[in-house]
Amino acid sequence: LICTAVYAKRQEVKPLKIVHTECQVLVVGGGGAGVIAAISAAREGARVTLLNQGPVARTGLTVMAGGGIQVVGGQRDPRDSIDMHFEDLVVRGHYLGDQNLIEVVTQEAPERCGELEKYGAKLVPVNFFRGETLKTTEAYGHSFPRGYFLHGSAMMKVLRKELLRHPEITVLEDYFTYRLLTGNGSVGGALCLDMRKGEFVVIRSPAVVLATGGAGELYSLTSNWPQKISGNARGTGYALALQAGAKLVDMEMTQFYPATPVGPPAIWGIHSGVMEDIVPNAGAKVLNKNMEEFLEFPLVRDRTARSIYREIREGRGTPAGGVYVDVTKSDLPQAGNIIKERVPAYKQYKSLGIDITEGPFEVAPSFHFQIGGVRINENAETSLSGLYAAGEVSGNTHGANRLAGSAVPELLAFGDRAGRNAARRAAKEKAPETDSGQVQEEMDKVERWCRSKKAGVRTHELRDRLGKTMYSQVGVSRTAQGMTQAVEEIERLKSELPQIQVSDQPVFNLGWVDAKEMELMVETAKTIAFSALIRKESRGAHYREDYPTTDYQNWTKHIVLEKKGEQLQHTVEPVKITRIKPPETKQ
Amino acid sequence: MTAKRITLKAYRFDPLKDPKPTYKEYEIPLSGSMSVLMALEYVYEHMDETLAFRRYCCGTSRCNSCLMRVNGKKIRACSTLVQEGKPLVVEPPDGYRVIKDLVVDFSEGKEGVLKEDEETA
Repeated sequence: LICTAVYAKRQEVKPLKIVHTECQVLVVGGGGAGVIAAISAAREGARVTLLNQGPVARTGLTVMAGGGIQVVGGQRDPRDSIDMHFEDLVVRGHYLGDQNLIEVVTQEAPERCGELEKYGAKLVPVNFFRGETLKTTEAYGHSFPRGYFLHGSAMMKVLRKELLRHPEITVLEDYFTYRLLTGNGSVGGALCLDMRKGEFVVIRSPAVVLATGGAGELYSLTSNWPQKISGNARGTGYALALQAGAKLVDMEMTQFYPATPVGPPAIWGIHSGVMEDIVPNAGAKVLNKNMEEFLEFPLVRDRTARSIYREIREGRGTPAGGVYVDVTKSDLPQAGNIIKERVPAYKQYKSLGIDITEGPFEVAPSFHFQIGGVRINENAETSLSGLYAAGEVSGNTHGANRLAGSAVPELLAFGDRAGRNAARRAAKEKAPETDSGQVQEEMDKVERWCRSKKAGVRTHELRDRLGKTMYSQVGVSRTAQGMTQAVEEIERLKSELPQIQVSDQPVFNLGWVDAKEMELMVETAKTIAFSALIRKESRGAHYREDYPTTDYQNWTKHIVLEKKGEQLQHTVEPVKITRIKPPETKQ
Repeated sequence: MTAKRITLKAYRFDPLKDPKPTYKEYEIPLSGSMSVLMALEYVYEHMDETLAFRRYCCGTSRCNSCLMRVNGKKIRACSTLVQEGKPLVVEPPDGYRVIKDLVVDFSEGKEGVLKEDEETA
């Protein structure tokens, strides 16, 4: 750390401390995409700094990844091929994914899997997963069972070890990114909060890789924040990028998982494979409050989510706001044993006093994956010079539907590309002088939040309101009227941000994270609602009651957002097609 | 009927300013099932915004971010239920430097190998 400047004007709050440092490649986010980007950048010879909001491998969304890695690797069905994988991703993504990006994922992810193995990961070929071929593969949207199984937490442990083997990478844990800094039309680093010291840190760099993950916590129910404790899925990266001048694409594409627990409270949001194992394999019944079955088979994610949502919305939901899943009503005598063997969450639920083989629990559709995001090209470059993006925060790979087991291949392929290309840029370019007003603006906000003291609002109240609005109005099933109301509520929330109240104690002040996250969440939420209003059709994850069909003639197009001053502006742009032409007629 | 309540006694320590650790008690309502991590979140959101803990939950007992000592025993706060009528003393896990309150520096394990990996693999 080169110099220390004490920043103090106001008397009411303690002075905020700012320190300055620099590096060649700054990686924001220490999940799978970020760690791989850091390693790849270091291999290219760059001095890298990686920031993570908590300890690497103990926080972030990759830790929660269920384990599917769908790639055409060494173990494959003889009928399968990389071309067929490409076709699956294009077609099942409803032709909205950029095909040049899908080429990268399908061609390069198998090689990256090989690297994971070299680092010590134990990839289990899917064909031999639990001694059998997965029965549900077809519902997942893949033509063949392909690829590997490796739980995200196991992958992150291996990646952490590899990360720490590189002396040229500085790993800063418990760092929260407040703002991307820009100058001369390029990114030039970031302003972060070192939570351990309670100091703000300006890190200058000519290249920044954004790898901040998804946005589940914008919604009141998500598989991304078990027990309503943060899973680092507050969608901050989208707003950081937008604010810095980068473009977002197809933000309305928000994937819902059909059935995540909402009750009893201790298992709220803890993902359990209801529609992979508990219902299809163990034969559990899904029932509304009148104990009626209503699901249609086969279980296709989006259709199942909508049908559960309809029961809840039309007043046939359970006390916790879901529907029942009841294993005891299964026709299979061995249902309980199937659950005990196959459902990883069984033990977790049991330790929380809930035995799902002995009585019903309640589930509802939950936000699962933010498909839209920061627009990238095949080099993982965003539209902002010097800024790269990889993993869930990036936008135009999966199109309108992210197939099961496809999040990890994406982060492997583009994490690597982002890191390598960022390093190449850093070898040629210097960080631009960034506008010091940007830092000052953020410091002013923190001081204001500290000064609000007891009179102000608490962030969790705003977050609850945002979550309920997004879930009910910009969720599983959408209308223009609902989304317009959501935009109004988002604007109200935005106007209340200055009244947020936080403590002024610097060390590990969660409020300093929460308040800024709330601001960024509101910004990101607005892009989703805004974009969803523009897309006047239904496609994949985006379902509109007022436009229920897919309009291939007019809407196989990206909705691209950009910020001009305080205004969001959109353009409608073509999807990149390399090999497979989308259907042209209205369906 | 009066609502059920539990008393959570939390370890508080800011090494940069406190001469020694103290304990603070919080009385919180108990409705339905609640994990220790949920109880801490309740305290942070509704009672004391200065309480620091690792506020992350993978929900599957894999990340060990919420490793703590509860009633003297090392546990994961996300997968341990609070129980009415029982004492609830929450402290940071042994063997790590305390950053603040219940937050410790996990990076101090040997060569970045998390100490509990073997226990939880």
